[in-house]
Amino acid sequence: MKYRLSNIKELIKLIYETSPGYFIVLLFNTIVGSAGIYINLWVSKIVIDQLVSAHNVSMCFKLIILMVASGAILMLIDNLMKYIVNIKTPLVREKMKKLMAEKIMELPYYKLEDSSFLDLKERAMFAINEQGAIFNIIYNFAEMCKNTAIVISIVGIVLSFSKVFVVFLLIIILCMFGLYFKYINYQKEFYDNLLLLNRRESLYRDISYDKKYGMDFRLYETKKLLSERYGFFLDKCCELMDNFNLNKGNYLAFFNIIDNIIKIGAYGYIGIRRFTNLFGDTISVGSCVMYVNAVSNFSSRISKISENVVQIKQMLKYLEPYIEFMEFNDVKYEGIERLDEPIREIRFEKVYFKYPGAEDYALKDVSFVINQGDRIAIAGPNGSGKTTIIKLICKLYSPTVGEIYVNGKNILCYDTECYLDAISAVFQDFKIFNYSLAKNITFETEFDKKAEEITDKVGLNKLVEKLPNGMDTIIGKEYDKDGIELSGGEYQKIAIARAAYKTASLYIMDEPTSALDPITELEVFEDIKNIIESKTSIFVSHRMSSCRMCDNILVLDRGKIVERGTHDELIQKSGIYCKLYLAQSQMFSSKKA
Amino acid sequence: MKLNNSLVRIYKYINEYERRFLGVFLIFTIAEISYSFLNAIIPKMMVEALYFDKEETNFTEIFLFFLVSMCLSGYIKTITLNISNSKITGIKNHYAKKLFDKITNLKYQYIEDADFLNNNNSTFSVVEDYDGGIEGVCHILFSLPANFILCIFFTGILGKLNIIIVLALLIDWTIKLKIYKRFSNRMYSKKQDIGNSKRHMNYYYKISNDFNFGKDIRLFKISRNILNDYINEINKYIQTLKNLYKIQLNLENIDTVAGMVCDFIMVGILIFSVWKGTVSIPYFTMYITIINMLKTSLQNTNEDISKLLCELPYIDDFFKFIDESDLDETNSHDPIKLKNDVRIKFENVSFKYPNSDKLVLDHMNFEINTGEKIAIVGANGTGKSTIVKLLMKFYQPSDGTIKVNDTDINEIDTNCLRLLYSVIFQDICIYPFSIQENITCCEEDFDERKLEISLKNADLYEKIEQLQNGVKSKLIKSFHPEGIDLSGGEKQKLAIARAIYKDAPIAVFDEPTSALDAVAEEDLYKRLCCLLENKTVIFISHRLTSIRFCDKIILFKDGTVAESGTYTELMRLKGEFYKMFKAQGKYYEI
Repeated sequence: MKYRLSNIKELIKLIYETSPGYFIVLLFNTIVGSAGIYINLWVSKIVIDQLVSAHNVSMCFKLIILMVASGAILMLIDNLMKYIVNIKTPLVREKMKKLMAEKIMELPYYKLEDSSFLDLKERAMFAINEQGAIFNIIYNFAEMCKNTAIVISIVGIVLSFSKVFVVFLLIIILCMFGLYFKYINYQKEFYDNLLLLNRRESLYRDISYDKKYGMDFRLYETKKLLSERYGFFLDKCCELMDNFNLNKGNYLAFFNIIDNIIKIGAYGYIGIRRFTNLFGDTISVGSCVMYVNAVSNFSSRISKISENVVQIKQMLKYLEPYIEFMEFNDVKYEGIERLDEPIREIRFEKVYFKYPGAEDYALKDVSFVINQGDRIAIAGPNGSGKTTIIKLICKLYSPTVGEIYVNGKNILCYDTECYLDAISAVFQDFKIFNYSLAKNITFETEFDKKAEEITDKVGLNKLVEKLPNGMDTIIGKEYDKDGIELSGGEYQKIAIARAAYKTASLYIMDEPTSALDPITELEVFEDIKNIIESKTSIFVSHRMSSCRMCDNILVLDRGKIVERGTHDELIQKSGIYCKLYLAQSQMFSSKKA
Repeated sequence: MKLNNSLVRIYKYINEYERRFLGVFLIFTIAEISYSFLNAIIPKMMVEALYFDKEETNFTEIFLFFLVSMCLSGYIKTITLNISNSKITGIKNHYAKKLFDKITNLKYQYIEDADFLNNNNSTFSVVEDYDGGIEGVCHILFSLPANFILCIFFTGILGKLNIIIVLALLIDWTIKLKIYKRFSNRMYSKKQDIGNSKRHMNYYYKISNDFNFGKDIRLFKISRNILNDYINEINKYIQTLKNLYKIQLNLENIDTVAGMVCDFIMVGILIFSVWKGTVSIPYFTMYITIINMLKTSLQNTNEDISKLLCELPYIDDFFKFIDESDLDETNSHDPIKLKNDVRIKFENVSFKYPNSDKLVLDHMNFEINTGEKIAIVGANGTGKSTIVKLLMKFYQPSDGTIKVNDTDINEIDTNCLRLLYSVIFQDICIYPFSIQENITCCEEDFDERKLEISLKNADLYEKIEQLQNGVKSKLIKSFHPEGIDLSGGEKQKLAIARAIYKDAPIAVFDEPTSALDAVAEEDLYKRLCCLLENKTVIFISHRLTSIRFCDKIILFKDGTVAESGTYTELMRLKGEFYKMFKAQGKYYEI
């Protein structure tokens, strides 16, 4: 329960932050809404009583003017409320998405590769995007406030009507609540099931639009099966809804009957007083109309309040994964030490590393030192742990056992954000953003001399000449349809340029040329050499050839460093490196193998 | 007002397949009208019985009558309304399925066209929305007639009191309709702007949520940048909405004021009549109730009509899409006899992507014979992958012809043509099906022995043996809680098993191995060639070394075939291939 309450608090805070105005209008809506009903009840009583005794028609007119005008004002405020809900709903939704985006970008990286976390994220988004949770909460919250105020404002009238009838009313309302709780539980179960089905259904829909799946199912005739399954989920959804709606209809119809019994019962009670002396004196015509209206309003508003509460509870439940996601806190120790100097030395000491959830160690007993100005290569067959070392150096993960020292201090002591200032990298699976070319390199709006030099060096200048808006051309079509799609090689060059632009003391190149054809690869390789010059750098490559230009080579095999040394030393050793190198170089020997 | 075509179509569908829905609708309308009618007369009857009639028995009768009739009609109306909900979902689902089938059969080129998907976004959401779209419109249509009849009915009763009231109501109603019509037009005209804003917001949302962007975002500290841009886009979007809804607010306020004037006229006349003695007190209570109910009914009717007007253009778009979408044609010609010996010939094929001026292929000529092991190599962007898309008829050549066994592929039924190929794409697609379904692409009608052989050949058999449910294990854990996830290598093996199972005469490998080093890649290719011994195999690669064993190597350059021949021939030629080969081998010279 505490958890629920904190959810509501969080949400209200969020709505308040996105728009304080909402609450003012909410207040108005509540006050004027209840006042409107109150005025209506009294005015109709007075007017009728006046008309019956045919006294004061001008007063009647005045009162009617008051009633109609208050009704109109209420409508005006209602319009404003609708306007605000219309605006706030998308605003709050987008802000929540933004907060989530912010959260994701701040999370420790290792969380991102955790598949259960990914699933939580998907669930969190689903309620916000697909189930109209935000709208329902905002709307029902406003309605609930208004209905509560109305109930409170007319409770006096109802009490003055009759104590006996109030007891009758209370008993019926209590019965209603009992039923409602049963109904709530039923509804909860239903929505849990529905949510699951809806998620599956929407995944199928995503597949149908997807480019990569698009080719696949057109070729393999999977579309029949897809269509069958999609239909199956749709039917199941419908079946579930059918049951639910029948049940819900029964509940609601029952509530409707209770409403009617209360309303007509009120007439009956008035009749008893009129024709017998059982409960008291006769009630005037005006009061009769007023009481009946008050009573029926009273009971219908109470059932509306319970409906609002159910809706809000339901929607908050939908938002639970979101709150859970947002409340996730990294318990790991985050360093505070600032790295203000360049990286002079990186030292791995007996580092073991296991990916979360994995059984085997990805790195075993890895120790090495990188000094300022070194050019290190990490070589080895697929899956030997090359990229894992890079992830550890970038502090994306921390070692399971053993320590990594940077400039003599444990890597964990450093403030991650500050530490990463010292590193620049081209990752194996780098991403280029749908920004302008200039912004993709500098991540600033202006484009300085240094950036220009670098674009020349990596040979992007040829590309710039071809582009319609030069450096300001938007890359990629996803953001802007006038954007330009580039080839794999060109993307890779941009990635290299942006890594080179960043002022860092360590440069990491993880398979920087894997997607390139031989000629482009050679070109890019020369560019990288030009740019890195004598800075500290780490190269990872399948291609043994790139190791030759490095001072020191670490050869990994199944998570262990099996050999180290310069190219010539390793060749002389005739170990695994030599074997790999020869296998590859043999491919290039002009004779057919 | 002319009857909208889309509505007629929805009606026809309901009439044909959801007959019961029409019955439910009829019962609801009757129950709703009687319920409202009873509500309207109950004060009059009760007040009359209580205060203006001396007979006691009469009151008890009236009391019982209302108790029973209102409970009954209220019950029926609530039940039917709720039953209609799931029926309406059923109707929506029918169209959702229809759209799904359209999209999966749509010509592939549209799927790759970002503009196409963006422009049609709001069209597709017609079957996704709960609130709007087909479902919303059906809900409206379900309750609109009852409301409408009640409006006319109440107006008629009030008109009997004084004709001026009808006049006032008519004027009020006309104003309302005009206002809503104007707003819905405005809303539809902003479709493009809103679409654009959404697209921009979605991009920022996507990259920040896409965990693959995680490393670069952290290293280059782009999160501030992204968030600022994101906020800007959100603000822009909200501003557009604000402008739009402000118009709505103003229109509605005008509407409210007009309604107020109308109320004054009605209530004024009513009180005047009572004062003059032409209306008795019981009737007065009835008229007041009717005025109140009429207001609600009018409000509902107007809201419904305005929403209907807002939604209809999208629904029209939806039906237009369903009718006019450009599908892969089937059975346009006799299916050709498929045999294992298939020759492919490119004759002067030129190609550029739609909306692009760049010629990707420029008068391309080559031939692939039965059983040949072919490698297509070339630099990035020379059109290697485009070839695959053309072969499958995902795109049409801009010029020239592609022939299979001397028949132009345009004359071959698309589905038949696609039976010729099994392709392993760069990105491997795993479906939320069982392993068996993922490989055989059908639910029951599969060949058990063939499946086993495929699994064994793809080196996946042992792994699956270990699974509790074997080939019946469901894939994608986030979809099937009891399911499993495959690793990257296993996914590739699954794709290979799928290709082997399909047993098509031609197998194509579209750079499936960029994660493998060259030595491992060559091993894989050689193994595949052994497995597919008597099939035609096409390897597409940017690596020159792993394809030396192929019968023929075709080198692409600038959209044409620069060289072709065996490895030895090409090396001896000392042309482009030799140059590329040397470039790659430069660092290996000892």
